[in-house]
Amino acid sequence: MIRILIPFALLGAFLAISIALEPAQPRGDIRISYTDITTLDPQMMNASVDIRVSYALYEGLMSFNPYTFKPIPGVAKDHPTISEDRLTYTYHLRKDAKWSDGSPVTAHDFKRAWRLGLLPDVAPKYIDFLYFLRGGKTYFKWAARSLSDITSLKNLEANARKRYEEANTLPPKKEDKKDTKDNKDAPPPPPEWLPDFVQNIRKNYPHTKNLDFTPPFGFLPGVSVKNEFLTDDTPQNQIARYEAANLREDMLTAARKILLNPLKTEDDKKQFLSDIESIPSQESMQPELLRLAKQRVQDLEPMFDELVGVKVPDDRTIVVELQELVPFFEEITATWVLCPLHGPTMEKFSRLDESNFNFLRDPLWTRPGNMVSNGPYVVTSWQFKRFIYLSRNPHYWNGKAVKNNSIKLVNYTSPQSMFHAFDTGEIDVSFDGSTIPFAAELAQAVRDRKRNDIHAIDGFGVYYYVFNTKVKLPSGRPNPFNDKRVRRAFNMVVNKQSIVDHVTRLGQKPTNAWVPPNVIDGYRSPKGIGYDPDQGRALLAEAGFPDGKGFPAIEILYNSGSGHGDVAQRLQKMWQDELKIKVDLKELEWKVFHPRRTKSDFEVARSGWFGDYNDPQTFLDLFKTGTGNNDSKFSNKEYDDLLNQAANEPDPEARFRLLEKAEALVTDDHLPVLPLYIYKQVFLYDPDKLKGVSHHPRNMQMFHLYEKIK
Amino acid sequence: MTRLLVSRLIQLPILVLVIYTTTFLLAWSIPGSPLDMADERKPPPEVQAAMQAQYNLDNQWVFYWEYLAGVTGIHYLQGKSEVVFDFGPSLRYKGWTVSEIISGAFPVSLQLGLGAMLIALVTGIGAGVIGAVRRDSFWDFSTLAVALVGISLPTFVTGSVLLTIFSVWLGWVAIGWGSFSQMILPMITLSLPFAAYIARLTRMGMLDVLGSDFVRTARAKGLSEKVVVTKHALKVAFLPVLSFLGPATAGAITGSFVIEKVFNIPGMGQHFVSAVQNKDLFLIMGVVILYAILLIIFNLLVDIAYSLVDPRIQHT
Repeated sequence: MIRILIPFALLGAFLAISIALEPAQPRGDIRISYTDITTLDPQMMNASVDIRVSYALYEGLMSFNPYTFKPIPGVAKDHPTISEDRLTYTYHLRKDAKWSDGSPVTAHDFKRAWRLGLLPDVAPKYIDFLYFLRGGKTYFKWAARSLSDITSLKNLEANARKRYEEANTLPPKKEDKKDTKDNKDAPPPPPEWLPDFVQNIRKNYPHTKNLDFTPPFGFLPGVSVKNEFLTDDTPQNQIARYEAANLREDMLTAARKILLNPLKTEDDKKQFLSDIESIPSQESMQPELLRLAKQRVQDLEPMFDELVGVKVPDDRTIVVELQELVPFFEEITATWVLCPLHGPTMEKFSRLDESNFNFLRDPLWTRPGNMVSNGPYVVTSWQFKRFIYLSRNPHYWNGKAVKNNSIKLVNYTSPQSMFHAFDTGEIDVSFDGSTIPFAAELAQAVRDRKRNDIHAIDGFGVYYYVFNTKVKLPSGRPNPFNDKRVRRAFNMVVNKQSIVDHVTRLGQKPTNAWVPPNVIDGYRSPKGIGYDPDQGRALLAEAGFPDGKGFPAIEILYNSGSGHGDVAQRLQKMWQDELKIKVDLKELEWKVFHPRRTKSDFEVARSGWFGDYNDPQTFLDLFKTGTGNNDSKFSNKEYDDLLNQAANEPDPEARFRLLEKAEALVTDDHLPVLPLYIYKQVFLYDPDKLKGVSHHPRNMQMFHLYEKIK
Repeated sequence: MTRLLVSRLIQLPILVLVIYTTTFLLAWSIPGSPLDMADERKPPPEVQAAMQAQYNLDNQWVFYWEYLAGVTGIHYLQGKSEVVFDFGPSLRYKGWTVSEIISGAFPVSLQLGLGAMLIALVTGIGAGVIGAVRRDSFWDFSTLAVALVGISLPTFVTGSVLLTIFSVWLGWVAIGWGSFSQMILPMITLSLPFAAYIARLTRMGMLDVLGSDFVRTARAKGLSEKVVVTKHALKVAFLPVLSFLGPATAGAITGSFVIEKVFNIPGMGQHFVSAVQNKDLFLIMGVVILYAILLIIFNLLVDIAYSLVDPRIQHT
């Protein structure tokens, strides 16, 4: 019997020891819940949870007043001086701005951060904020092209074999022409940075004046802009770039043979096959590829100076030239994307990956002890999926504005346990109240004055359904939603008030506008079209489907979770009852749903959009022809023209009028979407115990302003 | 014994390789891209291409061999990696390696699982023995009833009930993980189904054994009932429990998604589920390989324990 007991005793002893070894956790002044923080690298962030933390750790040239969402001076000592043409912003940095290691924050720290953020190797999600810098996109293109020049040498053999196989098996390409009749699918527009870029190059380098600048063209590592080959990217040019970089002779010969072979005749193919055999081995190419990659890394900084309009005349001055008019640029310099990065840390953690030649920064730099930040806090502890502990940054220049000594972000994977933790006083604030399954009941309790610690706040986002506006559906059958009368009809029969009253029940405001009203000062959203079922039925009849006769069965596409299904069912019922058509529901997991929506493989699909900056453009860009998030594939010349006019309109007032006109095209006329309601965010905190939480729709939270009420 | 050990240790890498390959094929067939997260922003195509190349996502067989070389330490021997067993980075949580994620979560699950198994063994065997010795008594029926409830009730029900009573109503323990008091409730919850099953196994085994000849002999020798039950009968009746223990322990210490969610425990279970949802390939492979190895090891331990407890069993 004793023998049987021994394992149990050992087990118990092991448990006791391991529990005793569990370190005690610090409690923290203010405790805030989070569900999922993916990164603390500000340039990698794109979820609002992460971004909130970035403002605790970092401070840009400008900062925000969280309650009004107005930019206020941050590291810059005042608002920027703006040139006459509104394209050049000059910032003067304050003397006392310091990193958490005590060293001063200089203009170089900003320039470096922006340069690193523009590299494809690092993959920032909000890179478009950096495209506002003059030449920012050109620099990105250069960096991407110079990288692909190296990788295409590395994969020369594999790519050649693939090409050979395709040439042998696939019939000559005819499929490309299939869609030409579908004139709603406009060809991809020429890159908007091109004219500017060409102008610049021609001005600075007279010898390039006869070169053809049809995109895409290539750049080569090791070749400075002075003797660059700026032509369109044919294989000939790629070879020319390799020649200019003094590529090793055997590799150059192989690349010539492979890349220049057109693979048209049988002789070509025979020659190609034998040439593939002559490609040098990976091992023998590696040193030369590494040389090119190292050269590229060396070129990163001079090329940035060459191409991008960011100048640092002295340590405390930074002059930023813009690619185009950006009326909200001051706000952009306050965002997490343009915050500075600490030079020595970046240097220490950046390295060249020798297998795929990316210039990477080791994410370990964001760990406590490694990360040097310049905001109100520093990270002192980060236990994965458990908690993140932020302590007051002793070197922060505005230390007296920091109202607490530490913030503990506590992870809750389930909304229920988060709510229990809040209810029992384990956490002080949560911004994820809308994920609680009984959030609607909680909101009701507030309206009944039974609780005062649940706050439903309008967000800067629209919950909407998007119509596919293409002529034909991917299945090949004609798309009824190509007709704007049908889209208008589908809008008019939806009773949005009943959806927010009976389905979502958080007190959301129904909206017929596209840009959330009353958030942007001076901008007045158009009225949109409201609930009018009779008019809707009449429109459907006008479009050729009286009483829904002849209208094909349609499918509502939505992703699972978050109550999307309930809203979809309500829409299904409204459309079926009012328009007498057949509506099916299709629920998909996000990973399947998202690619389908992106490819416009749907008739009607659920969607949502939150603004990135305080300007209508962040919403209106969504319907510009050819933009990445334009899932409806809406394309309207008048609309594009209005947006372009607005982009070149220096007077903010006049610009807003143009944008209002553009929005009216969407909400009053063409209706590529069905806007339903303004998102609600649900915050949990007891206003008698904590102050400082902002209720501004932008959900801008500055943790250092939080203060416990004693 | 040695032969058993040697043959199992030879089997281990082959089994793990088979499991690795199967998981790999299944994980790659999950629709969607691991770089396409549930947010509304898409990086530029150049960035996607660079990332695909970075993580070998552009070619699944390159991924297969590269990952295998990393995990088995070949990359380390070649000097390509600084860690011996490189499980790769998490695609979702940039900046965290799979090894770090597992080494943070596994000790938690290990504590929870071992604690639960300890409780399950003590209560399960105790209840089983009482039930068998006092057959058809009140105690027998009540332990059987409790065992039936323990098996039937899903843990999210028992867990939520316990949590509501002790954390929300009584306020005795804070929700979370860290102190000993916070561990008790989840351990009990996790132990319930195991305890119930062990109780039934023990009771059945005991009933079988108590009627057998050698027990009658022991009683005839004049041994006290206590000695007969604990020293002679239990040893044999314990065997079916022992074979259940291997996979059960492996399962318990690799985490329970439901219990982790209810009690907000930073354990392994969540990664089995969320890694698949995020198509976080490296993390999927990492947790599955760990689970496979643990399962094989625990089964081996059970076999060893078998031959220690019951010398009649000869492993060939």
